[in-house]
Amino acid sequence: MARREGQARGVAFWPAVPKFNWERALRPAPAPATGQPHVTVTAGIQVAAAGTAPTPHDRLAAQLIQAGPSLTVTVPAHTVHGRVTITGSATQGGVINLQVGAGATVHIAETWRGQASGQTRLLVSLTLAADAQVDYQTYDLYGDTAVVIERRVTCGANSQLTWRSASFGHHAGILYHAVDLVGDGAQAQANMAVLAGGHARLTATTAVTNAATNTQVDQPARVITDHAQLILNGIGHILLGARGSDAQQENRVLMLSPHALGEANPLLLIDENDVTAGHAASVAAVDEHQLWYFLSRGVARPVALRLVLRGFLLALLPDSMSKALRDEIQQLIEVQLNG
Amino acid sequence: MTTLAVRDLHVAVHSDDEHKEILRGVNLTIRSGEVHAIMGPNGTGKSTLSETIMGNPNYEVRSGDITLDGTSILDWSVDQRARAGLFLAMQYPPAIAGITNAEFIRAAVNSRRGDDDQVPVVQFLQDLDANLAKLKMPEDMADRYLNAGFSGGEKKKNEILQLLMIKPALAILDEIDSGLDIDALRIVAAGVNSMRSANFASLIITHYQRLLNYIVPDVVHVMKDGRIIESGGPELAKSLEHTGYEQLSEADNG
Repeated sequence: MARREGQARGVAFWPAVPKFNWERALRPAPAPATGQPHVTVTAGIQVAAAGTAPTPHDRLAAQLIQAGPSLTVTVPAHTVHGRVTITGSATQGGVINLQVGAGATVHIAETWRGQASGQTRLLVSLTLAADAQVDYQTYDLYGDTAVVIERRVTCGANSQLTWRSASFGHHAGILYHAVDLVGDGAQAQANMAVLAGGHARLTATTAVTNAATNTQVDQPARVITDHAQLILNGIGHILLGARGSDAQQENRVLMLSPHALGEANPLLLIDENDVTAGHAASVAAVDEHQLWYFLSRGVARPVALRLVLRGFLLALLPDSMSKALRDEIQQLIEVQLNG
Repeated sequence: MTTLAVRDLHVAVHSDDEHKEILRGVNLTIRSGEVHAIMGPNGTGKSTLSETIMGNPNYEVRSGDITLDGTSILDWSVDQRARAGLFLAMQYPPAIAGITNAEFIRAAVNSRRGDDDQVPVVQFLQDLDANLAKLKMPEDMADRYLNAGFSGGEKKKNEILQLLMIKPALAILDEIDSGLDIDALRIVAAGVNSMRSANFASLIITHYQRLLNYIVPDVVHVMKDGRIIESGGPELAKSLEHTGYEQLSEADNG
C-alpha cells in the first residue's frame, strides 16, 4: 500500500519498512559538511565534483539528495578491471552517483570512518549498465555518530553485482541497502554484516526488487547485537512481469545479551507467479556446536565466543580484504564486543 | 605420565525424554604410552563415551567417575579438560566460515600458553607447514575457512593436523577412518603414529579392523549395549573381522 502512495507522488519505490517512521529518522540536523571524500580511480574513470544528481527512488532518497555536495564517478563502457576507491569521514557525507558503463568490469570500495556532532547523511546511487560486472564493497566504520545511509544499486540487463557490506562502527540510526534488478537477466549477490554494540539503536534494512525477467538475487544479512536495540528488515519485492526470477533473502540476528533488543522482519511481496523466492529470518543465540569445537580445543569460553561471533560476520565479507582493513575490522569487533 | 580412568560410568542423553542410559557401566584405564582401540557395532555408545570424556554438555553422567591422574574431571569444563591434555578428533567437526584454519589452531595452541608466552608467529607457521606436509595437505588449507567446503577426507585430515599441532597427552580419535580412501588412511595413520611416545596415549574408536593394521593398538576393547564386553590384544580385532559382532553378543549372553 505504501508503495502506491509513493508512486502517486511520483516516486517509484517507497521503502515499505514496518515499524519505522522515516521522517523521524532525519533527526538530528545534518552535520556541517567539511569537503569531499577522497576518491582515487584508475585511468579512464572520470570524477566530477558537482555532477549529475541521481534520480531519487524513494522519499528518504529525496530528502538525502538535498543533503549536500554531490560527486559523480563515471566508469566508461567496456572498462577492464577498473578500480574506484572512496574514503571519507563522517563529516563528508552527501550524494555519490556512480555510473558504470556497459560491459565494464570494476571494483568499487567505500570506507567511512570518524564521527560528527550532527547527523551523517549519505546517499549512494550505483547504476550498472547492461553486462557490467561490479565488485562493490562498503565499510561503515563510523565512531559514535548518528547516521542515515541509503545505498541503492540499479542493475541493468545481464549485469552482475557482488556487494559485500560491513557496518561495524559505533553509529546509530538508519542503514538502508537496496538492489533493484531492472534489466533482464541481472544477477546480484548482496551481503550485509552488521554489529551493533553499546547502546546504539540501529535499523538496518535490505531491500530487493526484481523488476525484470530472469533476474536473480541472493541477499543474506547477519547482525549481532550486544546491548543495542536493533531492527533488521528484509524486503523482497518481485514485480509483475519479472518471470523466471529468483530472490533469496536471509536475515539472521544474533543476540548476545538479555538486554539487547533485536527484531528480524521479513517482508516478501510477490506479484508474479513464475518465480522462486525464499525468505528466512531468525533471532537466535550463538551456535553451540561451533562454540563446543573451540572449547574442545582448549580455547577459553570468552575467547571462543568472540571468535565464533567474528566468524559469523566475517563469513559475509570478502576474503580479499587487505590485512590492514581486516585487522581494523577485527579490532572494531573486539571493541564492540568488549564494550 | 598421564592416566585416564573411567569407572563404572553410566551416561544418558540430556534431550532424551526417557533418559535411557547409553553407557551402562563402562570401565577403562589408559596410561601414557598406550594405544587403546574400542570397536563395536553402531549405537553401542562408543561416541557417547568419547564425547562424555571430553565433556560434551549434551550427555549426563548418572553415576561413576572419570579421573585424570586420580582427580575427577566430571566438574571440569570442556576447555579445562582440553588444556589438561585431552583431545577429541571429531567424527563431524563443524564448519566455521569467517575463521581461518590457522587462526583456529593458533587460538588452540595459545590457549595452553600464558598471555606473555604466546607462540611466535614465525615458529607457529613453520610448525604448521611441516605438519601440513606430513599429512600431504596443500599449504592453502591453513588460510581456508575452518572446515568450510572441506571434503570428508580433508576434515578428517584437518582433525589430525590439529592433533599434531596441539600435541595433547591423550587423544581420542572418533571414527577418524570413516570416509577415508586407502591412501588418506595411510597418511592419517602415519600422522597418529608419529605422535606415539612414552608421553602420549590414544583411544581409537572404529568400526573396522582396517585402521588397526596401520595404527597397531596395545589393547582392543569390544563395546556392546553400553558396556565393554571383552578386552584383549590386537589379535582380538583380527578375530572380530572374521566372526563379526553378533557372535560376541551370544558368547556374552551365554
